[in-house]
Amino acid sequence: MTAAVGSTPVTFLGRAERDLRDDRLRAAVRNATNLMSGSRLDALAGLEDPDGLRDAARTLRAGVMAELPELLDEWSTRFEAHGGHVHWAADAAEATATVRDLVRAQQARTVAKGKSMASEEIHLNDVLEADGVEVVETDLGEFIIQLAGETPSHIIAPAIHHDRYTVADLFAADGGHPVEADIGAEAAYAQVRLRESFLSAGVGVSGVNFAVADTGSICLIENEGNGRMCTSVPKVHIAIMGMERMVRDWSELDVMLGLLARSASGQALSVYTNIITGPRRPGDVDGPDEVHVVVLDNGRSRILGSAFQEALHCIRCGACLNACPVYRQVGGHAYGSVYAGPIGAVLTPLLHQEDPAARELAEASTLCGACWEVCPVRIPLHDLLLQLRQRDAGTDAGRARRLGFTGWSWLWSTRAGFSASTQLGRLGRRLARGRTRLPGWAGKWAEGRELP
Amino acid sequence: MTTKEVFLRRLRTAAGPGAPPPHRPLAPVDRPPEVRPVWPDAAAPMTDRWVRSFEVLGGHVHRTTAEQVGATIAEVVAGRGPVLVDERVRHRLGTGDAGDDGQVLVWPGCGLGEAATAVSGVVEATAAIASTGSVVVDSDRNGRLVSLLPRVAVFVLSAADIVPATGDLLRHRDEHWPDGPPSNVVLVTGPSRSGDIEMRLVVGVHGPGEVHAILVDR
Repeated sequence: MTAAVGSTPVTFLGRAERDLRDDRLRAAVRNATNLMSGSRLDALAGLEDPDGLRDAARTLRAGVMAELPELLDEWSTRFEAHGGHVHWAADAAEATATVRDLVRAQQARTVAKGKSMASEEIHLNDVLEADGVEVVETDLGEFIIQLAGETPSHIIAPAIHHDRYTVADLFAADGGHPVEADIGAEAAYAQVRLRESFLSAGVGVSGVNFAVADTGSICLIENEGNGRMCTSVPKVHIAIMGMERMVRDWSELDVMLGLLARSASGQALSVYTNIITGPRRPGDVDGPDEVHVVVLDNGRSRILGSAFQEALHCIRCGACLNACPVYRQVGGHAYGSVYAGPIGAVLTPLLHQEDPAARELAEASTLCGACWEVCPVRIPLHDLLLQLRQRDAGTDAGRARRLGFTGWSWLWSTRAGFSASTQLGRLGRRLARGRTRLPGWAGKWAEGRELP
Repeated sequence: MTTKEVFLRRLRTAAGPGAPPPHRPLAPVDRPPEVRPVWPDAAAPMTDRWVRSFEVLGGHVHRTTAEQVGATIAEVVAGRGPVLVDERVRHRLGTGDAGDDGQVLVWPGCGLGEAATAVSGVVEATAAIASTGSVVVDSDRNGRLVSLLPRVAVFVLSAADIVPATGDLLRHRDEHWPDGPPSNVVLVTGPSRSGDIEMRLVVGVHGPGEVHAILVDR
């Protein structure tokens, strides 16, 4: 199971082992998570009763889930009444095909894209690029990782594993001329480079932070202004939205906004809180002629109404990543998923139930509960991780894992047994050399392991 | 059945009465609670509190009177280069001859190419939020691009339109938009910024890196 040099290890442990050896990565993750954790505390101290607000937010999220079909119906009816278009996608293939067809209809050659975890989840860029469309990631961090050919390593700071020197190299390769390893100069390079894309793109693509049922609005928050560009300049704006983004009304939106940026980056509000209610209207002087929202299920309806429903409460602030002793050591790429950290360890196995590699992420936790402590909507992430392990324990791989541990503890309880086991291990290693998997139960167990 | 009906039916099946109660009990909540900020300067007038929050974010405040608005705008944008302003608010703001070089680009008539050359953009704010230092702009009054494309954003704001907290705007939206929300409402909270490289703050990444408020006192 050991991966060849240069390829990505297929297990969490393999990837974690790789990244734990990367000192620069670990320093960057430590710096970023410390800063964000500290800023969060300062920001929440700016509220009179942050914990009471978080308790209430949890109840409000549960209320939304209890009425999710009705709220989606109300929201979409109103959004369409304002002239917006709503598309319903059961899975990633339907969602990407919808976007591809909309882009084709515009004959757009360039798509300017704002940061969107949902579009990462459905691998939208691959589909559009295969269709001959240039997709430009316009968030600074997303632009960096797009040039590097990587995936985000943090929900709100996708490129924290890079530093000014690696960024300078990426930008120099992109621009064909040297770029100074200075953060201001690098931001200026990206600003100039991407401005042209904003002005020429036929379609802008964004995510959605919240959809407000009572006015048929969508709310997008961001700091750089690239989100405003993507949703204001191109003729067509397409937003990809996980179906659980609903809030009932502007009072609930107020509660969520009060918690989101404070928990994420420690700002009272992000720089741009955009509330969009349909396309440009008669009398407006600019704005897109068409606004489309693609509502995405992609495994979410299996979580709705299950013991794991609270995973859908997440408002994507990233606070649990910053608090997690596992994430803080290994960073985001070890999770091998769009969603990293505790929420990723819960969501990934739930969204990809057929994938055994996703299942092992529930093990990527110490169950310490630090994630629950910081979650703005108080998702009991450690409970959910434990329940996932319990569920997994009923499967072949889980039974094999328990049998393995029982065997080891019995053997290791005697000196002779311990000695025999290590010799057995050496023998096993010789036998296994050149084989990709062990037979029977042992093979199931080894699916999640590397041989010692 | 439409794709919407199929989609929602799947959810209705999933969210049915069989759903287990949450493992940890929920706090009882009648309606969404207020988001109440801690005020470091609770005795100060609301205008001063907003000024403080806006300045903490790096904003520049220019206090003026209704009669002097045009002159104050001219001072702020003077010597910078072309000024972008929405045709609908141009005369209301007195930006007929703003800037000592006199180059006023009127949006949208000037076209996107010209607008992209503007150094500053002047917009009329709908409201402002004291606890966060935000300025609220909407598409009923200003083009979206006027406060977005230029490097310098100038918000013209009446002190009477400052509200204490986000809830005073969002929960009382009818007072600001009696006919329902415009197609685009933006709460602008400071200059455009990014911390994406090494978590170090840079301003003016895509949106304006410099924000000014012309605050018209009552």
